[in-house]
Amino acid sequence: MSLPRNILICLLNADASYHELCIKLRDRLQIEQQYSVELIVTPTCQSIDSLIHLINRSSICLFCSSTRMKNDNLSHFIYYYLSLQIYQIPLLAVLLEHDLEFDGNWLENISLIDIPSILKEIRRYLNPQISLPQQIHSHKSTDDEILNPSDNYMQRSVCYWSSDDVNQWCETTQAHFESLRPLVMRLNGPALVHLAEILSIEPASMYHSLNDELLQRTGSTVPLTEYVSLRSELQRLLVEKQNESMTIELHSKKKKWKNSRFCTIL
Amino acid sequence: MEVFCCCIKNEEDHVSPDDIQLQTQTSDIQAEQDDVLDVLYRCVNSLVILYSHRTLITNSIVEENLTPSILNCLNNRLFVQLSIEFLRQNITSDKINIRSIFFLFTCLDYSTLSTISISLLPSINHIFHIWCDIPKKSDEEISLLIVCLIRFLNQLALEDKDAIIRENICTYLLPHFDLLCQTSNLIDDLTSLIITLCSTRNGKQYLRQLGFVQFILYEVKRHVQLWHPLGLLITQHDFYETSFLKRLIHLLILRTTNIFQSLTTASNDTSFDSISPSSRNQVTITAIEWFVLLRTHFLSFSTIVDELINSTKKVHLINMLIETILSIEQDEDIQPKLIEVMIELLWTFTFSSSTNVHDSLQKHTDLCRWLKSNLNASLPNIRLPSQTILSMLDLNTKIPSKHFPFVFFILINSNF
Repeated sequence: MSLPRNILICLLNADASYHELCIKLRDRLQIEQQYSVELIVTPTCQSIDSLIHLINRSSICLFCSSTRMKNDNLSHFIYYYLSLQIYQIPLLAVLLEHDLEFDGNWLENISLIDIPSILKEIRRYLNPQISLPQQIHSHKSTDDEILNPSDNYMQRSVCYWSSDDVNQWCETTQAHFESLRPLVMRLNGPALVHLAEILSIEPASMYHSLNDELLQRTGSTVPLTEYVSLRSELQRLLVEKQNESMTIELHSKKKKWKNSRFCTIL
Repeated sequence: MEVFCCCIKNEEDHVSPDDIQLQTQTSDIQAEQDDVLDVLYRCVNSLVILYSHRTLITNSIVEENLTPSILNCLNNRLFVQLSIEFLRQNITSDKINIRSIFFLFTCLDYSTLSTISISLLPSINHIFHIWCDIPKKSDEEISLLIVCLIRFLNQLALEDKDAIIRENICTYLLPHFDLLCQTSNLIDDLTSLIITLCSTRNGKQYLRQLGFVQFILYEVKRHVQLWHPLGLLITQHDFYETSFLKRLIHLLILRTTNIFQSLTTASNDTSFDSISPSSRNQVTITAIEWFVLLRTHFLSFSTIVDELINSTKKVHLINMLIETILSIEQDEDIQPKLIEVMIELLWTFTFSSSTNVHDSLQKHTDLCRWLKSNLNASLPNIRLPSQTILSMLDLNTKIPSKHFPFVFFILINSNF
């Protein structure tokens, strides 16, 4: 594979406590992958002009997502600016905190990736033709988790799924909700959880909403049986993941709450 | 003795151990039970004195012998039995023996000293359970024992959050949450306990499942300390319930406008005998704390930002924010930090897709003038927000959207 040239990656960090991690990320991308990387620590930014100049030259922008970034107006401003560009560069949110909740925050609009899948995602967005899995294996020589991506999305919480993972999950459901796939496959993990929550709260009105949206997009309607299949597949997935996480977190501890709603737990 | 004083200091009729001896001699009812109690009390009391004695602090005898001995006493069923008697004394005519009270509070005092008091949680759980079942009048004061236990729990939470979650003790705080909040000086301990438990994902889920969000929302109007735990507990999921969102927005507007008014009053009042510098300072500190809390925990949700902008029936929040900024920025004594957090708020609102906010900002020519004057400010926290707010306003009103990025870049670089 030819080395990437003239590719500038903007790495945005809003939390000084993750500075070391971000430097490590930057160095790996620069030294081992030959990308040019600019690490921008937003709280120390002195000039909007130079910042805009830099992101205008970027091929991809990575938002190091943390609690601080959720409330960081400068990061939000960069997202706002980039999302209004005529030619949109890929934007990725790199998850730094595993407990981070994005629902309702501006960060939820950005494709979420975890640290192990950074290389895979960057390559995928910069060069969609590349066959990804083989390349990832070729870089597994180091034991650092940055270069050891976990390809099996089912091992991760749904909250950390990318839109690719959602796509793969759609395929494993053996087309039980084929007509709805154009809508579902556009979502990432957090959005999928969100959809499941709304479906469980407002099943009837959501049927009509999805029907209208699908009609508008594809000209076809949603068969009721497929809608019900989607609901049950989502419920099954989330309950499975919930049980897994409860098993991992609580181990053999006794559950104190019996009537919990899956959407609250997730 | 120190350990007694800290728990019964509010009681006027302070009783010393000598009085207990006197009572033991004069009372001959329930002699057998009293004797057992007396021995236990003296045992625990002596052990606690030894435990806290400075010469033994580093001695291994404390860990190897004293602590297990005291714990054995405390885990005795008598602890729970006496607590229940104490809690029931308000609804029965019986007076609990004074030694029982000493025994109970000595136990609690010991517990706050000890580092291994987590093992008392099952007993405390049992006491709370009984307390919830005892009928209460609406004007009844919370028992001193419960007040002490909640303070004790607050301390335990710092040591082991998961233990408190496992015992599910917080469930007993809800049936009388309003009474607990009204109890003097207890609100800070309650708030601290909830905040500590919220610091982990597990703790937050636990409190949410119990329904703390709704209980806190109901009480937050009277007890402003609860805004912090409320901010930590809410999620986007809560906003699907229309009545919840409506009340939250109403309360946020109420609190924020009150802060704006107090700031304007403090800033405009220059007469000598009205507001002292210290109270002005306090108003500023309260405002900064509130704005930071509002920005960090509530405005991180786009729904809340949009609702606050569009909820203009009673008060126009954005107009008030602008007017307050323009009012206080003329005050020479104002803290720069206050201006910084307020312009941060204004910046946050400009990201909203609501057109109302841009209209409101655009109409204030004096605001635009002030923002332009900040372009050469030395503080980046004032300069950068001013620059970006101005550029976003100009673009939203004058430039067709398809040319946005190009013109935006030109505007930014030309400094308008």
